[in-house]
Amino acid sequence: MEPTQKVKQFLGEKMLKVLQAPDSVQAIQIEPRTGVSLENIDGFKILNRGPMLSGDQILWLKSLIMDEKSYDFVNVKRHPMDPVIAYQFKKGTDTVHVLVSFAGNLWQFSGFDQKSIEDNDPVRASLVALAKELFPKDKEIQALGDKP
Amino acid sequence: MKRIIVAALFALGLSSSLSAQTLHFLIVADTADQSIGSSVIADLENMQNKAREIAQNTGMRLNLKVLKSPEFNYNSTLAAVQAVNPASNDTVFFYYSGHGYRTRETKTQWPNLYVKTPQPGLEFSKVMQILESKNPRLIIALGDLCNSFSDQSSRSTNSRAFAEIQPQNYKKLFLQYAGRVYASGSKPGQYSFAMDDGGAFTNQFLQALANEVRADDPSWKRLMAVATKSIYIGSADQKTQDPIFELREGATTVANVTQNPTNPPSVQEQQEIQEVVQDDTEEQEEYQEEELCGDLNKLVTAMKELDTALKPNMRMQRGDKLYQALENFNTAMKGVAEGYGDRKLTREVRRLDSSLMQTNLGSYKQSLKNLIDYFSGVGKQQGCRF
Repeated sequence: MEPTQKVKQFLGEKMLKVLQAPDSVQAIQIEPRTGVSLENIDGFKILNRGPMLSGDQILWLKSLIMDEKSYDFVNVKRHPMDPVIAYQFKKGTDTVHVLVSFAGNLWQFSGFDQKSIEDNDPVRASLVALAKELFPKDKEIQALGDKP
Repeated sequence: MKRIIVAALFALGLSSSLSAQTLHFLIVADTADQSIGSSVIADLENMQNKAREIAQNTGMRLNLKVLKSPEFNYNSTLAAVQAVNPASNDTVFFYYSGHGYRTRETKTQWPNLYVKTPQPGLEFSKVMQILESKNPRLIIALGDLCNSFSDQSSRSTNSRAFAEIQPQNYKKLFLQYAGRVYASGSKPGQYSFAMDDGGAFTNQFLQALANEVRADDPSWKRLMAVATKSIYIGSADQKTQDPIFELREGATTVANVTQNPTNPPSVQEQQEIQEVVQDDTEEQEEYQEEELCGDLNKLVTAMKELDTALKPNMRMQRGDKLYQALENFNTAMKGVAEGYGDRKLTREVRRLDSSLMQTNLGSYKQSLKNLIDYFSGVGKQQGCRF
């Protein structure tokens, strides 16, 4: 799917390049609020390096990221970013992280010294479904519902 | 004669007691946040201006403290709240703008101020408790933050904007009232939203305050009822943002919209709030019909006269008579913009101000013309003939 100008502008050319054609994507569980830790992603402590995403799962996630309808560019919530999963996109030596906060329905895209946060309410159900598929034994993720 | 002396002594005593009072205004703002920082900065600017305006109109000494990023964190916030040291007759105004949330364990209707560590942040109710323990005459604690679980605003234009601010109204609200005014931007389980020009709730509160200081008989009850009216958001998952408030006099809760699932407001309370909101709307409609067109006509005419009087070849320097006159005009326009609550108007008034700061008369005249067009448009929309 070719992203709209709005999505291109939001993600930026460099991040877009990695997100559109990654060599691999890994799902990583992170701790929302533990502060600084040696092994972290954007300051969030790594709890568990989860599975690599299959081709279909990468396509699914990419289709969500590239679709303007997945974002709410109009409204900005005053809810903190509390991510529990980070998707690590790798392409060659470049890395982009997509952090998903089910609390508040937010996602954060970071890479190349850039960080962008947006609301993702329209695709919460899809993101929850993907997380449940990737972490079938995690009770907290399996308990996620339609609403935060 | 005795009566006059008694009255004079009373007035003297009252005025000396009034002049001795202090407005302790503590603003805590998460200005560096990636997603809402710019909105919080707008809140900070708006609330600082409001603090000065309240002090100016009440004669209270202003003790303004601002805690913002990067100093803002759990410890500094707690320390700043604890450091507030009011006398028994003082007013304390605490204001927080930033992220917020609640957990399933949160016992009160109030959210937590978001700080990364320690969990679960700083409870808004704890801030209230600390301030209560200091027992000043009046406490106002407002938080513009989410109240959602962590585990554009449609702003009505305000016709009263053209009425003049009454300093005695500020005095009645901030100097003579004793009680507790607590509010946060959304009910439990809800998000609060950030707009370009500040938080949706903060803007609505400021607009309600701007209304109230122009009203005939100002009251906190009506002010808070209007400030906590449901705000239309239109997000897919949350159509409205519903602020909550509690107004107490002594041990008695005189008005509230708690929205607490375990303690819903009584039918009588809901009716009371509905009544005051209705009153406010009726007053605005009345004003609109009777006086709005006349005031708009006067305003547009005065602006046109000013535009004609300003010649492109005129010289202006900071502080000279022309500069001062335009500065006064700008101040008046800022008051109108604040009360009217429309972003386009606010933007144009900022341009006007910026042109004056740069002593650029050409640019000033252009902004003035834009404002004339703006108010003429408002008049047409309202069906005014001028």
